[in-house]
Amino acid sequence: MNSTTVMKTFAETNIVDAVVIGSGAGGAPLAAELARNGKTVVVLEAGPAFTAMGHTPDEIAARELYWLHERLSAGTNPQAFGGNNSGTGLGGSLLHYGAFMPRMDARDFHLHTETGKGVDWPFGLDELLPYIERVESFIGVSGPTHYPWDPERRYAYAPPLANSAALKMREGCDALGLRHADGPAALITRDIEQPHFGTRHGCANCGACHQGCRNGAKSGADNTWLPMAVAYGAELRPGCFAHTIERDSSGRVTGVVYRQNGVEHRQKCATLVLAAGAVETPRLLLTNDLANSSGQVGQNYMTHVSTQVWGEFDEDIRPNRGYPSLTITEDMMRPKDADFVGGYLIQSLGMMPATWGQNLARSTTTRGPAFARALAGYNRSAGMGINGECLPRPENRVTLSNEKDAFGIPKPLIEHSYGPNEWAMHNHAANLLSRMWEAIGAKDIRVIDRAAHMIGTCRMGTDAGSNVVNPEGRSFDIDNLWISDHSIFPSAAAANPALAIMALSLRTADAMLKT
Amino acid sequence: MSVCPAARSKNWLPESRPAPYRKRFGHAGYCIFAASGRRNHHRRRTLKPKHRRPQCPPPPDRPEILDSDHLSARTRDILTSRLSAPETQPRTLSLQAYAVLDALLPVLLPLDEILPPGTDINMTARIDAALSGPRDGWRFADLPPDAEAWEAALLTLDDVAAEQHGIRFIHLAPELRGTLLDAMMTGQLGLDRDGRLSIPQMARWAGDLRGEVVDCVMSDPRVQQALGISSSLTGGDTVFQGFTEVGPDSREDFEPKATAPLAQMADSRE
Ligand SMILES: Cc1cc2nc3c(=O)[nH]c(=O)nc-3n(C[C@H](O)[C@H](O)[C@H](O)COP(=O)(O)OP(=O)(O)OC[C@H]3O[C@@H](n4cnc5c(N)ncnc54)[C@H](O)[C@@H]3O)c2cc1C
Ligand code: SF4
Repeated sequence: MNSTTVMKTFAETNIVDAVVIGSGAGGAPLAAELARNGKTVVVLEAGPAFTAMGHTPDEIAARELYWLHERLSAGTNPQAFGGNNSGTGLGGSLLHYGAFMPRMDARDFHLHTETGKGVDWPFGLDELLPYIERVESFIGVSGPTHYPWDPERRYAYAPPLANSAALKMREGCDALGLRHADGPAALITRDIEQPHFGTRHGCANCGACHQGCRNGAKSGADNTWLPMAVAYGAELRPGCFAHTIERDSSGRVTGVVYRQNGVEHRQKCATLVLAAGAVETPRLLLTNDLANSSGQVGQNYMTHVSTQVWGEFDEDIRPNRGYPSLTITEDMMRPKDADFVGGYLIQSLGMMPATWGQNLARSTTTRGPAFARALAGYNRSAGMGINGECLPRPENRVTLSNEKDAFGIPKPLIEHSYGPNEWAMHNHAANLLSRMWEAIGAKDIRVIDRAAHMIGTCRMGTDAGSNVVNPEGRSFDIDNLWISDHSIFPSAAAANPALAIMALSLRTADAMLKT
Repeated sequence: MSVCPAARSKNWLPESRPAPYRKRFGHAGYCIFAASGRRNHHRRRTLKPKHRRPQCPPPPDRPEILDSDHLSARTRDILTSRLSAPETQPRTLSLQAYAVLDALLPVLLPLDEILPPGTDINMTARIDAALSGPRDGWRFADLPPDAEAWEAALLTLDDVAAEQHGIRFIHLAPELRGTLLDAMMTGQLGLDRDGRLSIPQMARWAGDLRGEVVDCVMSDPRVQQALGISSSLTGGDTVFQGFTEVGPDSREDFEPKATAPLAQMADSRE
């Protein structure tokens, strides 16, 4: 936050216009927008407030940026959480996200109309585009001067330096005749004065985006939306775990009970916005038995098919250096030879050593000197990864387990299994990416089957019987309850999600301001 | 076969006092044989106990990366803390389970081709301690909580060793320990009884074991130094340097060069 700004505070007995639970991609833009329009806002964030220079590239210590309340993972593709799929602290998962910032493909809004599978969004890209452009211009996104898949598009910042993996992927694309470009990245490449925050420096190519950016180059919520929210009078309360939603006799929300430093507090509010992410938001609704007349809370849990393919090269690659995932190709958004619906993006991958080693360790059963040799190959390794559509399936969902956490609240159980579409996409990508690496002489090519991101669980749509919120993010059941996070996505879409979550967040704020 | 004294004393691992041996001697053992290239000379575990002090001097223990001004003070402290073993051992596991873990690690991931001879990164003690610390925020629903799962898994290995070979896991020859690990990882080892893990649970846990071991290894400053990994050197506190070179074959002067025999190939091309 700008050191000259004094944060306004509210008494718990004040009935604030809005309490927002969660300060990440879904919560922060909306909080800023409501405050900018004169609303009184309190943001409850379970995690702490971090300082940028206090971040450490040490992957074990950087776990402080993860959501560490235990989640139980089941299904035939049980998902890893922690560093893979969670985040906490003022800024949410954007504190340690990879900042890869593609826009959603227009076709992904209408997958069902196009293919008869999946679900359509209640609106198209046209509706979201103005918000997308506002997000890009406010937080700072870098990209190429010419984006092959959308020649009209412009980015305000030049791309960062291409690291070894980015250069290798370019070669791989050239070898197979695929187009490629520097991908859109939510980082700035020259120093700027960020309104309400202060100086942000240009990207230093340190490579530790997933451990927290130390110089403010990465565009998160902590250095953009949240300082703006504070400047317009919002109060941010870190270290506050919200657990109980209180209502009056008519069923409307009246306040939130949260725990801070072991003490229970109650904040009264006129409106409540849940922005706790696609696992914690349904968990809050399920534990409070709220907003679930559709029976859809926790259902339709989705991920992204995030297959990775790694190879070893003869050169010294040093995959920890440089912005990790610069090169993109969107040529597989609707591949001609696809035996699946939807599509996927491919991006280059650098990685920090323990994360890379974890992937290797969990995807193989090598042992002994061969295992040691594989780990010793770190500095010669480059990767590519995809981000692809994942269809909603009834068996994939978030429910409450029988185990309680330290707060006495049931731990969430997340069931996740790939269906035929996800496996077909995985196989297609594994084959293509392996061929790209082979074509440029990579050795020891290794396919890692993994899924990323937490999507769905409080679906947005027009029909109250099969959706949790309406197309603006408002609960069908409780008119002063809104949801603004990754849980409202009707379908996964291929693009990395943060841009669309932030755009939807601004759009929901607009809708709230109109009511 | 002649056996180095350090190896001889540490190869004996009585179930009643498993921990302190590692603190004194280290499992890779610094000794004249290490330099001779006889890599597996420390793997025998069937020797009789002999309480002799090792005759080899301790290895230089402070990796150069720790003194780089491309390291923040906080990161330096974090990495430095890993140079010493946790004080109480074991902290989480029972003595029996701890001993099994200690006996399986060199078979799962031997570090003698990565680290300088005599370097002991105290993996067993660090993993055991980590099991009592903050975990990573999730677990497989079909496994009990981490500390319980590790205890049960390690005892399962011990029981299967006893059932199949008539001796405890720690007394098995390395090849047999390896065979049991392979069976576990490929879904062929487990026990259907209380306090033990079934076959599918053991296969799941094998992933957790491998992940934990890799976390411990790749976050160790001695390993980073030996493999020439510069990931901790993102920038100091007064100047946040980052990297100016990020393409292939462009090591910057402040970045470590690989010294591990296994990892020197890339550097030798410079
Ligand atoms: C490692 C990683 C890399 C990623 N890389 C990219 C990328 O390159 N590009 C991209 O577009 N996306 C990326 N993502 C995804 C992106 O970060 C998320 O999709 C996005 O942040 C989700 O937004 P959200 O608002 O739903 O949740 P979050 O941003 O996670 O915010 C939820 C917040 O709510 C808080 N909270 C939860 N429960 C409570 C409670 N009960 N009380 C109080 N507070 C609570 C949490 O602490 C958290 O801060 C990445 C994610 C991860 C984990
Ligand atoms: S690579 Fe750039 S954006 Fe990423 S953490 Fe480092 S300085 Fe920040």
